[in-house]
Amino acid sequence: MATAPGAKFCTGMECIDRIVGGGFPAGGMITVSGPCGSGKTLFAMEYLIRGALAGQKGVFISTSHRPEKLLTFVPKLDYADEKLFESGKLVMKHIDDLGSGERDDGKITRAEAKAIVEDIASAINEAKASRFVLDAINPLLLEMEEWVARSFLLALSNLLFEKKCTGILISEGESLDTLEHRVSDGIVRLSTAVRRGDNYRVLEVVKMSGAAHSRAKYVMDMTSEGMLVTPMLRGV
Amino acid sequence: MEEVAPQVLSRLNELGPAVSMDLNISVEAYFDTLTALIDRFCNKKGLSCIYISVTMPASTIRSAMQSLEIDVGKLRFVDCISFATMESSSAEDENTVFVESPTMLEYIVLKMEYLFRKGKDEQFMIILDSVNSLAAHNEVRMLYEFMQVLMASAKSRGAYPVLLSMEGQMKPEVLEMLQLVCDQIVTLK
Repeated sequence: MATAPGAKFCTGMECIDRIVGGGFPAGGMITVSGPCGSGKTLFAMEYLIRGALAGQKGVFISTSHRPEKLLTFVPKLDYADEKLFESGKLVMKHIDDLGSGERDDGKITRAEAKAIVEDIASAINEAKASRFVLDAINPLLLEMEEWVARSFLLALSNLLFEKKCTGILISEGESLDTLEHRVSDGIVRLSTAVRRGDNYRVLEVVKMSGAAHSRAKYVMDMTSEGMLVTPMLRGV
Repeated sequence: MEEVAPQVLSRLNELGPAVSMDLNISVEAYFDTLTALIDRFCNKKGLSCIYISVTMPASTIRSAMQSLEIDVGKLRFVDCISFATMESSSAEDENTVFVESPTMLEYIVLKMEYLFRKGKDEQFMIILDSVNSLAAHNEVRMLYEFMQVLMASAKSRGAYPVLLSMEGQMKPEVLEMLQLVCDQIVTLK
């Protein structure tokens, strides 16, 4: 039995739940996109850690740095507990540990894409995870023909829905006109804005299926107490 | 000039929390006002204080308080000026958070929110020092919007929001804005 229609999945990130109208679509696949340094990985980490603190296990798959290196980049978070990783509430894996590594002319074949999805399913099953993060999706899709990439994303989306596991795909870059955005159930865009020479980190929810979400732009700050947002001032 | 402290204390006690107040003070009454707010009100009532400093660096105000033998243990700063003047200390101080420029108004709100979360069981007084300095860096319409957000956030936490403004140094449009966002404007005699 899959997730009930319209069910919300509370992220535990107070400001995000408020903006998206209660939570992400349960079993949905949400894309968090933005350029380098916009806070995507920290967003995803907080999503997993908040869940683990509430007893929801999570799986994090990195396509760039190895998990042990990635963890050294995470700043001190007052709400987090290092034991979450040791106790298995949060499982971190690298993409190289999934699938067979098979390539055809440098491209991931459809069979290999399917094998990666199956390994993700195993990781979710083993961890009994209800939260999932893939950081970032772009390097993986770059290695696929478009039709394989589409098939991979749809298979991943179906898997998350069936497993009642709500997932985040991290997408690097500013364009929203890409495959992962087209198939996702929600899009959170992180960006930077310049006003009178000052740089601001900005968050906006572009799409969230089945939710009457805010469309405003919010200035955000990543703090040791978690992500904080406030409406961007207009001055009009 | 009458003694400042009794006037400040009687107003604060009369109004209670979640009521925003602008204290219009003379330059001479500046430190007496701070002493009344921090030592004789916050410290006596066991309140923590978030001091948003736009006029002087946090380190200067803290030193001044210490030289007046005021307990600064529950005083936290949102320092909006040290970065802009390249005076920020490299030494870590968990009671001071910095905003890069007084024009980055949203970050003032966010840093205040951060300090609220750090002291989630505490009751706060919020002191904004000063409206004049903030008005020198920002357009009034932007300031008006900022004040509304700041006041709403402080009030929702049951804090005592206090704005400081300097007597005779206010543009009419800033005064008009203050009348719209503050529940009380008190001119100290």
